[in-house]
Amino acid sequence: MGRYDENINEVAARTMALFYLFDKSGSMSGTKIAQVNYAMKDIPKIIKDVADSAPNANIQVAAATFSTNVNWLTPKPLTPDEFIGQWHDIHAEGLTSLGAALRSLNEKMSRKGFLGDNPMGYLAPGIIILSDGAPTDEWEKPLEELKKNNWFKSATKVAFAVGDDADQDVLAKVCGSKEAVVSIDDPEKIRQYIKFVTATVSKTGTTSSTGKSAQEIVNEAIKTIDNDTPVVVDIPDIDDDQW
Amino acid sequence: MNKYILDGISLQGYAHILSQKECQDASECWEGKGYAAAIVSDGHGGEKYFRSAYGSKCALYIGRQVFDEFIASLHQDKKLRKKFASSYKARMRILEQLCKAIIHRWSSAVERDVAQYPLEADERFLALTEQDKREVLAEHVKAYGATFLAAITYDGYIIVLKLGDGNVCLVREEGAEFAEKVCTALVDDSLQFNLTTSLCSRDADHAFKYDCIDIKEYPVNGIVLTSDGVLNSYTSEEAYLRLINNIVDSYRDGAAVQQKKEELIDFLNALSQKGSGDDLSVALLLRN
Repeated sequence: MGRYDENINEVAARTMALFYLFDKSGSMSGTKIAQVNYAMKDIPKIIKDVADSAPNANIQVAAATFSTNVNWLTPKPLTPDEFIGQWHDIHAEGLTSLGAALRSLNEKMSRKGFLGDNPMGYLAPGIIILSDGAPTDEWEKPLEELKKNNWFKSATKVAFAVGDDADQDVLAKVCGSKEAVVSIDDPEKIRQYIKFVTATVSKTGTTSSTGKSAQEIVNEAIKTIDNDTPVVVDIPDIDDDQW
Repeated sequence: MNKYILDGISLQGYAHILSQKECQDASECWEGKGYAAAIVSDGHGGEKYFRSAYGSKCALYIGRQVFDEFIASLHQDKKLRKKFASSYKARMRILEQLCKAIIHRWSSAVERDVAQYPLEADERFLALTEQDKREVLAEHVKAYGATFLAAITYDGYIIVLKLGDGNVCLVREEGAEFAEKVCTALVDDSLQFNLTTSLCSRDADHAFKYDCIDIKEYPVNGIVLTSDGVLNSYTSEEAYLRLINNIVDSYRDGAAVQQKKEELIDFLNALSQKGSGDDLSVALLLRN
């Protein structure tokens, strides 16, 4: 190639950071937390498949749990391969400190936090939140602060409200609309929903779109979820027979 | 010696090679009567935009037709020419009409294509989701969605038109720079995070950005247009501008344009594979 060698050496893919916030309060024990653990073992494969179809985009994963405290399971956004080694099953206990989780997310969604290693190279992030209860701490002020964060503003946000006790209104306020909240009545379906939304959010976030924002596209995809039929993840080689 | 060095390249991106999809980009540079111009149009990649390859080619055809007529009008209509030369504000009013003409004619052209080749008979339409089918049937132009980037040099002015993502670089003595640096009317905050405006947008006439540079006041030696896949292959604007400067130096170094073109095509193929995976277009118009 000669003349353009230097220009080819400077090529680098942009990165989409996908943030998970999992409620692991005491009420999540049993099937709910087991489904989360089960789902997160599939996530690296889903993300790798999405990334392969978008050669210019890397997808990295950051995950935190919140109960009485907030605990980041990843020291920084990790590649799918790195994430496989980092994920350890989470156990349910404690309260539902959503406010603390939002405050912590605000800190991490910054160049000083998790988004500093790749200047100019980040795509709009994805945020997936799962909770089965109402916040037990002050959440409105942290949300107000988080809403000033440009990364958060541009992020595609989806929340899972698991069971009757989940506060859907609060989650809708976090995501910006009721359309971005997925209500899960049957805890056995948590795994499939996490996989479906992960595939949809990451695919949408790494593909150019016209007219509609990534959030609108994801909201439309969520609308197609029918509680009575299996969710089909539109990525090859994902085992959906275990529904 | 020709007044300009002109070249336009559009090639199928690596992701499209893998998925066996056609190239949806199109580009063209030409020297018309009393002007030179370059256009890059990037057809949208989503399933819903299944005729975007035609949409981008149509954008070139319409663009050339409209520019020819526009410049001819300036030559023939003394009053219009005087008005164009009178002030920046007057030029901007004229350019607004130029953009509207492009959208109107492009929309009419794709509707004619729909009349000739109904969408419902297209297997790519049949493969859409029911919701996408409804959207496309409600607005046929969606199936043809494409961006439109153009630059025209005319009588000491450089006109830049921009609808959608992609980049326009001005070539100056000190190197290439983004046109938005001086053409502030081109700044488009809606082009963020993979979102683009388009010829198929309902509000395309409002979304169209345009500006005009008087090169006596702001000397410019050339223009390079690229589709978004080029900048998206880099994580810094500096790296992208280094590439643009290298392309300009290459075309200016005296060897045959065909040789430069082949060299650039080889590079762009490698860039798409290693970088964005997207179809890539480069159109350049350099003063000799």
